[in-house]
This record gives sequence, structure tokens and C-alpha cells, in this order.
Amino acid sequence: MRGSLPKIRGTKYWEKAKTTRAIEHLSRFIPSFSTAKPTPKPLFGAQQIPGEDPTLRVAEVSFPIPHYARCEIVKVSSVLDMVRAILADLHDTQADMKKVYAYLETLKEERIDAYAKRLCKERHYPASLGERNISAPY
Amino acid sequence: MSPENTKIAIIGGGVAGSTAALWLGQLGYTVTLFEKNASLVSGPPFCHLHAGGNLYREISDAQCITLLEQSIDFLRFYPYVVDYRPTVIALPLTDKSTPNALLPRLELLKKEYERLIAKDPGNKVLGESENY
Repeated sequence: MRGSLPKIRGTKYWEKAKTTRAIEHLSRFIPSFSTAKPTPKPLFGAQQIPGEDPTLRVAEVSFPIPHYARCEIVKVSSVLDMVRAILADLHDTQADMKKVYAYLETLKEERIDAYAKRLCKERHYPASLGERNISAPY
Repeated sequence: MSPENTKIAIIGGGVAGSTAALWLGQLGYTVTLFEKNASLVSGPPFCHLHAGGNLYREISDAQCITLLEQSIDFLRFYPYVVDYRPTVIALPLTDKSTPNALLPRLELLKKEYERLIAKDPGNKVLGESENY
């Protein structure tokens, strides 16, 4: 927990204070950004760090009682390590990656694009946010 | 116990719950996913999946390598959801370091990326390693 804002964490005041700090920070790179106004809707999610240790950018999985896993994701790319930890707890160590990736064969990128745009509208984001600027250039 | 005979309940369809449901379901587990919102993964869009994380100066080389591995892993599992963007490195005038100070780390990651491709060609999701 950051020392300067202990009591309002988790409230709308906390969100606004965080955003104001982010605007100040970004203004050091893009001066015109200093007039940006906070809005309640975040355009993207920032990494959440548990506690004060910025090196802890990992998935947290704990198994407090048998047959129960509790997960907290710090950054999105660690979700697969989380799943592997759960599989290890289930004593399933021979996960067949062919099976895991099989779902990809039935997906069409155009359908995902259309669905992403629909979700953006439903969530009051611009539809263009559902598009990719550069889709897999490799 | 075989996957088919194992029932799994997942509370919360954010990125963690949905990914677990998808992965475990593909392996044959009987999965039920509970989500209170109208659609899954309803938080704000994710940002800086890969490159951004590597540029944090306070994290160690070992953590950077883990980040690279995890990012490749994620890209292979969700190839259609990730946008590719150039990375721009800018430092405020008050910063005492230089962008060039990042080069040894990027060199290390390039070698690591090369190693991961040699291990499994499917890992080549970030272009040619020499361009990393």
C-alpha cells in the first residue's frame, strides 16, 4: 500500500488520485497531456502490484485447503503459469498441449474481430478498440 | 482421477477464471464457470503484455526472462487477441540514465528468445530473433 493514500484505497477518490498522478507522470513526456481530465472509465488496465514490492509481478496461486485454489493475477501473461500450478495440484502432469491449443483451430479471426467490436460497444468503448493496429506481422 | 471424472467450479470469469476454464475444459475436465457480469473478462483492456514489463529497471534479469517466457506462452494461447505495437523509449530530462542502458538487457532477451525458438519453433511469435 502506498503511504500517501492509505485510507481511500479502493474508493473512487483513490481511482481519481491515481489517475491524477498518472497524468502528471505522462505530462513529463507529453507536455500537452497536463490538461487531461480524469474520467471514471479506464481505457486500459494497469499492472496491480500486491504490497509495495515492485518486483512481484507474478501470479499468486495458493491452495489453502484440499480441492481449493485461490488465484490472484498480477499481470495477464502469468495466467498460464497459474493454470499449470492448478494442474500440478490436481496431479495432472501430462497435459497434452495439442489438446490445449485445439480450440484455436475452430476460431476464425474475423469472428473474433466482430465479437470484440460488439463487446467494445456494449462496454461503451469505441468500437475501434476491438481492432488490432497490427495483426500478427510475423 | 481422470479429467473426465473431475468436476471443477471456477468463481469469476475474469482473465484468470476464463483462461483456466478454457484450458482445463480443453483437457477434458468438466468445468463450470460462474460470472456475475453479462460477459466474460469485463475489466479494462490489458496493456503492455510483453515489452513494457521488460523495461522496468527494478526487475531482475531472471524476472525479465520469466516475463519473456510467459508472454510467448500467452501469445501462443491467445494469438488473436494481442496487438503488436512499436516500443518507444523516452526518458524525462530529470532521469539520470539513458535509453542505451537498456541494450545489454535486450541483448540477453534476444539470446533467450533464440533459445526458446530452438527448443520449440512454435515459440516464434515475436518475429525473427535477430530483430528482437
